[in-house]
Amino acid sequence: MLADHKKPHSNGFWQNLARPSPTRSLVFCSIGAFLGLAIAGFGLFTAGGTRTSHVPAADIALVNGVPLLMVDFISQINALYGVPLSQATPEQRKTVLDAMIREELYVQRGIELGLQNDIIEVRQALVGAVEAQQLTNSIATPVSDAEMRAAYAQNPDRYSTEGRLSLDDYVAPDSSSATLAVNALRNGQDQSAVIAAQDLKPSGLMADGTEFYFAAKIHLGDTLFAVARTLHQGQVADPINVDGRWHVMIVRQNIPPQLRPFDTLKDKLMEDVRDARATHLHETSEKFLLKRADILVAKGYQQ
Amino acid sequence: MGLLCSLLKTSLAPKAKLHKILLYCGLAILFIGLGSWWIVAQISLRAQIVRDDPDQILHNPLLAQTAINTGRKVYNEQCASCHGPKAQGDTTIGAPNLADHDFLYGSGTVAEIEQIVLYGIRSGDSRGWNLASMPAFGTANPYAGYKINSLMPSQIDDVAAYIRHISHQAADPAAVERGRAQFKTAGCWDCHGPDGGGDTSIGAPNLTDKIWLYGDGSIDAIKTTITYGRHGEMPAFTGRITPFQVRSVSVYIASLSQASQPEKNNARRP
Repeated sequence: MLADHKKPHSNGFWQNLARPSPTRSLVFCSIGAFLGLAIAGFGLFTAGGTRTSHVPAADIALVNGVPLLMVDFISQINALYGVPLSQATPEQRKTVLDAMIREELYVQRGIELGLQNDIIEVRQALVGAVEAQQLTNSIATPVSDAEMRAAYAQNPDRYSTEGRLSLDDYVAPDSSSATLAVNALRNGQDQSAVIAAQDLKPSGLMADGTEFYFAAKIHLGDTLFAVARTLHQGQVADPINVDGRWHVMIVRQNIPPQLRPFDTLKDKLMEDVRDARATHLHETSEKFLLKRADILVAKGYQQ
Repeated sequence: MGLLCSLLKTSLAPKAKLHKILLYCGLAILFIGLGSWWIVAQISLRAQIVRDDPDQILHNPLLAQTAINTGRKVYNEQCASCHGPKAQGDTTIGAPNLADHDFLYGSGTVAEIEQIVLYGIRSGDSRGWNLASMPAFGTANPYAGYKINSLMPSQIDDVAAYIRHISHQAADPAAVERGRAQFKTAGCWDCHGPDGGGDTSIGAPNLTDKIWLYGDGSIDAIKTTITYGRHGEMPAFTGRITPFQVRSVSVYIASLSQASQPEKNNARRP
């Protein structure tokens, strides 16, 4: 049994507020529910985006909720006026901040208008930005020693020194002179005497002295270089006919490429591992984008 | 509170017990209050460190100490793997010494360091430093950005001799003179300056001191750099660590440089 003052009172529920009243409870509950719905509905149908009155400490401003970073503000002041933040005048600060806000507003407006679809520069910048983002991720992840050693083992050519070559290259009048000259040189006869006897003329292809392999290949051409790189110091090549000219080559110095020590290549290996990661990320990302995209290609152009 | 009220109301609880309970409650309220005050103070302090002019933080002992303590932890977690536990750098990978007074980029202010921490060097982030890198003069295509002529081995030897000379090391005088001419024509002084003094606006090292970013300054190390080029990278940490951590680690690194004496260390810093 409830005490008298605790009994529900069905009549005149405002008269005694201390007395429990089911009707009053229902009325309050309904009012609360109605108010809640009204507030939610108002918020839902009049929402202009959430807004905060507080600018985060790392930001100089929020433009429609998009933060403008303090560090960018400082660097722009420095770039524009050549002074640190503490020495920038209020006018300089205002100029930079206004420019940053203006830029952000225009960027947001551009996105609203869908300009990124129409302007070539914006499209290129967006493509570049996505690729750069992938690169950023690949660079940010530390490169392990094992990864570097794997790359080192897999690409010995890439991590070798550039070969060096120095030689005397002469052109003989015909094949018999070239053969005689080669034989004489191989028999140890004096080079100047042989040159004079067989009327050899310097080709001028390697007149600059010792050259890197890549340069020697350009200067000699593929045929002569392929022979020269296999010879050792002091060796004389067999007569070679290139475009109707008979060449006689005497190698002065040939230092073939050698694998560079691992410890001297760490910076290069780190870079290469990161590049390989970036390439892999680009490829994976492209596959993912292609997979989820709905692409229709006109008849006759499908590959 | 309901529990407290019921305890207070009960006539069965002895008076001493009631006092004890009140004491505990008072202490709890005191600790909660102090804790709340401390948390709010820490949040305010962190906000002030992030909000303040970065170059003024080291002049405020309270802000500086807080930033340095946090920055040291961030450094050990994020930076020490390349720059070393004592920030001494690593010349095998071109990670600069962060504790000396030699600056590869900028002049070592907190704001400049913060820019590098956030956006990196050749990191792929367009806001990072990426204006130039060292061409590989001993290769067919020395520079990806634009056309630069390759050098012959003898020319590289001469330039290396010249660099040894301007960094106050022994070198063959004839090679030095040939290298001096080559230094001008090959494009070296476009970045390193006519006197080899470097350019901190593009990260071109000063070649006239004995501080080396790569190698030990030996003739072989210099020739390797000229022949194969350099392209050091520093990751961008934007989005990876909080703004407070970025500011703190920047303050910490700047403090290392200020704490050391000039010319004491032998590797370069960013």
